[in-house]
Amino acid sequence: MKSRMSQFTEIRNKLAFNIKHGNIQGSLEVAKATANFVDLIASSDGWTVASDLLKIVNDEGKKLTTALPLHATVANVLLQLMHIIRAEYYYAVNQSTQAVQRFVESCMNCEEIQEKKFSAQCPGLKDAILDHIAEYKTELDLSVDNITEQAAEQIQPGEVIMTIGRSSIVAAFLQAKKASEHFSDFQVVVAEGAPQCEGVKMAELLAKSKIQTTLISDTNIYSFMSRVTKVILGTNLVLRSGGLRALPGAHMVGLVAHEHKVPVIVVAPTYKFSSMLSESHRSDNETFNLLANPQGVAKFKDGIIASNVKVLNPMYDFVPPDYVSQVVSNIGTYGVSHMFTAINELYGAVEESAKDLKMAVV
Amino acid sequence: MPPKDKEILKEKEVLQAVVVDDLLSTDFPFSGPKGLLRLANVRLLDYTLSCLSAAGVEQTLVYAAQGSEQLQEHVRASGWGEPGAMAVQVVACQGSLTFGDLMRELDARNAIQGDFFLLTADTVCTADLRPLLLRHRATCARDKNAVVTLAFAQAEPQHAARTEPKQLLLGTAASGRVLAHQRLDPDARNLDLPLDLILQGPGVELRYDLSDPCLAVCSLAVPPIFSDNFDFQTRDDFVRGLLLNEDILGHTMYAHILQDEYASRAHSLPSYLATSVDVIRRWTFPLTPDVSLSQVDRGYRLDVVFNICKQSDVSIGRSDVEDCVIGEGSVIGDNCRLRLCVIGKNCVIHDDVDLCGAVLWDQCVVKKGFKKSHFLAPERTVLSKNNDKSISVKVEERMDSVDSDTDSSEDEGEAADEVDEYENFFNEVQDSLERGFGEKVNTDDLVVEINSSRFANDIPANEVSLWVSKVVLGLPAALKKPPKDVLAYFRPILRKYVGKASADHLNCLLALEVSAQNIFSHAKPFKNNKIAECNSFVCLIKRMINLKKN
Repeated sequence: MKSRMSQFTEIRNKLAFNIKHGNIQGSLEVAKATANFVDLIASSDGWTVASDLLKIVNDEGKKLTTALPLHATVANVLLQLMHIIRAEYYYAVNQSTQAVQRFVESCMNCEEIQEKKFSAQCPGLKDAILDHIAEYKTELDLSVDNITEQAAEQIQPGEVIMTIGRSSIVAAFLQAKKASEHFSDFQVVVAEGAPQCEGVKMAELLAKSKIQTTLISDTNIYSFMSRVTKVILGTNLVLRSGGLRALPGAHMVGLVAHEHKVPVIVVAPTYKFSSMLSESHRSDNETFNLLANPQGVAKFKDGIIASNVKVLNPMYDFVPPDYVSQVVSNIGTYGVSHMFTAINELYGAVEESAKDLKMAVV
Repeated sequence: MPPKDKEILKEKEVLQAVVVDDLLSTDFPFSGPKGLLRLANVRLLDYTLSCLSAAGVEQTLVYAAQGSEQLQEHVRASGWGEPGAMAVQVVACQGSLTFGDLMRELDARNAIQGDFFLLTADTVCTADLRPLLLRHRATCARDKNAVVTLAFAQAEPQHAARTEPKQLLLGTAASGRVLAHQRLDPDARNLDLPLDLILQGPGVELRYDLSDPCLAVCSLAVPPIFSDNFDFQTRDDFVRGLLLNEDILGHTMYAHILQDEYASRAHSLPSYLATSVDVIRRWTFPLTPDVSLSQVDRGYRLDVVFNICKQSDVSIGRSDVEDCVIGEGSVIGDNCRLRLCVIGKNCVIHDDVDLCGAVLWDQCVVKKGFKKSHFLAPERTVLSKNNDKSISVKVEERMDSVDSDTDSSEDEGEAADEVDEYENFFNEVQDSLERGFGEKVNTDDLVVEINSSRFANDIPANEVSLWVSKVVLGLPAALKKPPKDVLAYFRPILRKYVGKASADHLNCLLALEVSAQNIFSHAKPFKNNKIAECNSFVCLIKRMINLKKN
């Protein structure tokens, strides 16, 4: 047992190292790497019954997320895969799709789930789990394509689209639309997203694909919104309620769009769906927001500021579900009111997944 | 970044770092090694190791002057050095006390294979160290004599991070080569720089806006330099020694100024408090307690609204708490006001406590009504109004703007002299008039004496009347003679100095006001006779009016 523990330890540490240093870049790559890690655990010989596997994944997952507190994708993928393992067990035990259907649908009913100890021996369970994980990994690989396929229907010619900051998936979405038809002229207005000002890089990306791009500062969002027909946002997380945890400034964009009756579309693959319900409801260990380095807002070398002024630089913004119209993901487009059900299918009931992992999730 | 990493690892060498854990300053009430000192409830060593790990260092050697077993235990418990992560090795050096001694140990053990990062255990740095390493490699490729690249952080002269009394003056050439490195006395008004420094060529920079986080990238040649020079004790000795011997040995140093990145040291009490405040204010993010810096001190969650970073099981009463780091199990009472505080585990703070900039280590108790700023309370101290065992740290007010810096210091000097001059004048005139009255000296002679005294003390003409009037009006009380006689005797003097100019009249009135106050406050002889006081005052005024009429 001990030697197997240390085997995972080395791989886990290398994974954490690579993600932290930016050797693995982008949330998609991080998600794939995490899925590979769980695949490795599942294919090893260290477990015989489902509860063992769940325990190992739980332990390793705890340590991994502790080492990577700023990468929510890691926690999401781990939780989703754990739910998959449970679903496979349930199917293996009951051998009927109806039972699994009930399991998935009755996710609200967590007493049933609590009774399940996941400790029965099931031949073929390992293969089933490995197959399902392989399916999940394929889904990840195809996530960008599945999303960009929907670009053609989401964006009409002649539209003026606003976005804020930089999101690679939104850029891919827009580039796909540009490439799809010969004559799709639509414009994009990019808000810079201070203080990171990643919007500048986004504007460069879009301009390279010959999309008509305008770059504005965050303070001009209100004045431009009257000309905008659609807002497309990327996000860090989509919450169960349909709200978002996105970059600072997103709330403002949502609010202004709401006032101007402009639809807000969020482009997010499933590994960005979070089991967090909303910004106020959080389990013991989750934190919704963090204060990042004020260096983006003011300079440390300015002595007056550094010693006397409190400089706040929050990492995330909460966008309430009221401001969001649709979520475009690789499993389809959802209206915001369907997000709760959609996420329940991925994670199980709120209480069940909250007990999982018990780690410092950010 | 991946392509550049491949460049670094081209020669298949292991990227190393050396953390020098020399003796902790005796100001700190802490007996363990420096690396285990808690900064915002997390050990200093964790900050250093996190910074190195983020830079992709593969092996870190911690050279400890004392407490190496404790350090080893901490490294093991925190999970540093697990397979796949950065390897951390703690090396015990018995008998080594200073930075220099530990570097000599390093040389003796021959553990270094190539370029390495050199830090002290109290360095807190969020900068990405990889560009620093690349710059060092580029410099070494260009200049074969380059031995070390020193990193400096920027901090303006009035910055709170500049806690040391002697600040750094750095002279660099256009290539970044260090030409001068001096620690300037704050009182010194002169600066000695060798002329050939300026004549090095275009682009010579003299910088006074730097702070030294004791961070550097060294090449293989550095440890032998310490062995050759047994008197190198601190890093400053090393730098100065290299500069002095540049012609002989030919080693050169380069400087790298960190842009928009945080780096500082926590080696003395003032710098420790300043760095604690920086951690609380998030300047050191992502090296903050809530972003799980350490496997051991975990579980901090940040309350974003009030910037309170606390562990579980902390209870805060109805208090005004903002910008704090609070360890688990601590209890804070009602009606307290806490700002910029670090509170350890299991502390108890009672009601009505007002703390600002305080650092309390584990299990402290603060009694009701305690109020103090800028101090450090060691473990298990009980702080109350009567019994205050905390260690105060002097923090200068840095509210002045940078421009008025030179002016204010000059004014202070002058003002001090001016006060002395006036006092001198006052005393001299008082002495001569008292003597004059006693010996019945001619008032013309007294006028000569007053004038000479005035020129000796350089009193401006418009203020003479004020001071002379003050003296004369104060004389009746000083001489204990009735005002009538005294004023009558000194009438010519008053007439001479209080002329027709309205400024003089105003001065005289001012003097009257002051002496009236003095009379009433020092009216001990007349204590039982308030009427007599008033009478004497009225008498004085009458005399003045009479004098004016004449």
